[in-house]
Amino acid sequence: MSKIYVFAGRVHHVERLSSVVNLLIQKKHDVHFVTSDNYLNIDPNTSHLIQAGIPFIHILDYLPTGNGAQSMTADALRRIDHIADFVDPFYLAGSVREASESLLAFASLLTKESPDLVLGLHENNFWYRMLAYLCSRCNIPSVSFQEGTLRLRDEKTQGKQSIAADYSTKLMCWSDMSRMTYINAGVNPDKLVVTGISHLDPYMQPYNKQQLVYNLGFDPNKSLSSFLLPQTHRYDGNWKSAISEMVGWANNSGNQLALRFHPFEDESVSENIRPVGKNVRIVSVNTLDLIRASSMVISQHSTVAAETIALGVPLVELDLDNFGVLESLAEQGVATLIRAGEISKLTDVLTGKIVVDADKLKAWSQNNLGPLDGHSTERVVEQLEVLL
Amino acid sequence: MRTLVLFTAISNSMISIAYDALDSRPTIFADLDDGIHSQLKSLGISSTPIRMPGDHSWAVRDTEFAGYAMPGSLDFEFQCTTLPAWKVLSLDRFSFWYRGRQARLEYEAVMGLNWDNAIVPLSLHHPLPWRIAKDKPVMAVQVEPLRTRAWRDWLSRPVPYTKVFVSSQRDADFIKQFYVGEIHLIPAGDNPVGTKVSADEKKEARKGLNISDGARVGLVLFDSQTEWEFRKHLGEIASVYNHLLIYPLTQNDRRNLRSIGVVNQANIRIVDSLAVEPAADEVIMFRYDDRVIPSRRVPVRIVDSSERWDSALLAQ
Repeated sequence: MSKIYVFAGRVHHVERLSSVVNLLIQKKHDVHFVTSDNYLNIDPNTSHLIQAGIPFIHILDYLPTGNGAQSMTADALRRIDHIADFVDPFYLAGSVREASESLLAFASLLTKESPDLVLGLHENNFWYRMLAYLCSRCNIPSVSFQEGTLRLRDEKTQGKQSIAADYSTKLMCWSDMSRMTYINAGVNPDKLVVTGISHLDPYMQPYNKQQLVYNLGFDPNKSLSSFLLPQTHRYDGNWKSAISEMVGWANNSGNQLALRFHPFEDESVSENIRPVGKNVRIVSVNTLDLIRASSMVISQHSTVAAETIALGVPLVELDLDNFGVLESLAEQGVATLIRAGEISKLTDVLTGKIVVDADKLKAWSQNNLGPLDGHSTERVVEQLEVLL
Repeated sequence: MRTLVLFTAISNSMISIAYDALDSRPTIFADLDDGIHSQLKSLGISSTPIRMPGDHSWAVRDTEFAGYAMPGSLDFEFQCTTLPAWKVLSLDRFSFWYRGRQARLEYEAVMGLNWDNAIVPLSLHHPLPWRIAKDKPVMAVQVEPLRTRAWRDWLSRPVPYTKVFVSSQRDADFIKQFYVGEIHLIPAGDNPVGTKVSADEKKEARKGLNISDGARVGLVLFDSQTEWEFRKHLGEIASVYNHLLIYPLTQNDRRNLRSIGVVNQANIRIVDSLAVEPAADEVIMFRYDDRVIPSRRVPVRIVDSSERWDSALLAQ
């Protein structure tokens, strides 16, 4: 039995790692979720764990008493230069203090508890980068996972993929093409393993769509469409008028519509939206449950889009302001683009009058999403056990 | 000599200094926010609104951000590590709050106005005042509590202002530890001090809560930033009192209190109003907070057990 620590800063960390965690537990490993504070704590990281009744280790329980974090913070703040012209001092000071505390607490945790393996969702995460770095210093293997769809633009502008496995021992990729993308960005090929998307495995099992629609409070005898928004500040165009048009479409056509805001969206945003219509509701359920209940998903969000295709649900890319969709899936032939004045096309997608080319869809899915056979978790765990 | 008064924040002290400036020398006013602009207007101050557009293109924004912060000016390692700071702080923190093109245009607009020296808020909530102070003589006026951990950390950097105006001798003593420039006191009267609770008032408050006169009562003021300390110490604190009242400081704190599983139970009660304070023997907080503590009416106990919040230093 090995001691395995799984970093769970946010609810999606738990959601995406839980299939792997469950299999590790089945295999009698001693698995613990680890969490931390976040500087503002507007939404404490512990909330979702406590609400779900999941036990956790909190890194602040390991923070050494003394002024180590203060001294580390002061040293870093003294060195920061030009970026201070563009970011409020409050956030600069707070983020640096948060990093300093986390570094000291993670180091103390690893020294005292000596786990055999550490997992985190992805290394570009604020906390997990520090944890992976410290693991590498302590010779503790650490494993991370592909961070959603790999966008060329993110690599070009910020080199995001090139720094995805600086300290991780292994990075689990969705597909051969993803692996090549990382290699082309400069990641050591020995670190990269193709496993598929493990968090989708539970969703590859047979299910009753009508029951899911009913569970969401909609009429199970009618199909459900879902509009999954990216974070509103990242929406390309006017998200309020997009909601208004979607609601208008649902009311005029008699179709059911679920609106779901991004999990990181400020609650005040959704609280101020009051969709009118008996067929329309704002929901806050797990994204994958909602996609599976839907007969059509409307989005601009790359990860949601990839998950929608993986679950075999027709995808609409919304661009009502003719803004242009970044690395458009419609341009690749696997989604339907709806632009200004074309809202009625939603009904055509929903009723199957407009469909994407099945061969193109299959090829895109194989290249980008890897094997969707429901066995990715087993492949991940097999790799993890090699490291133990 | 022409003075610019730049309102990135507003307070009574800022207004008072603005009027003084107006009386004594040629002065121009500028603001970056519609709310502040209308407040100034209602006070008879005509301010130039500086409104600049943000970035239109994420590609341009992200590329520019990478130039400043990946590694840019974050090309150093955290103390006692070989971990580059930018790899932790940039993508998953600073990029959220990066003001980009808007900050650059605001700077250009302010520097394009005709002024020789400036008065700005002494605030952590906008980078512009700090930026213009690198180029021209700027004085700063206190508009927010200074005895916070964020201020203490930020003051490890050099303060570029030629003079600062603070609201109390206590704040002057605090900032003197970190700042070598001129410090002036302004009687702002922004910080009310709590009056002591009388025996009758205490009795009455307890009667309203159905708490006996002899009971030991604690009042915890919950803020979400101290959620870890709260969970860690709640059991131990509750065991010391016959009744523990918990008051979440904001609506969000109230929501978080529920989400971390604290509900009304045996001797713990979540209360809706700070009006219950006279019923308490003690207020308990998990960090020093200058917004709340000076106006308390009963003794305050600070439980900052791991010294995360630098409470001992800030409370001096």
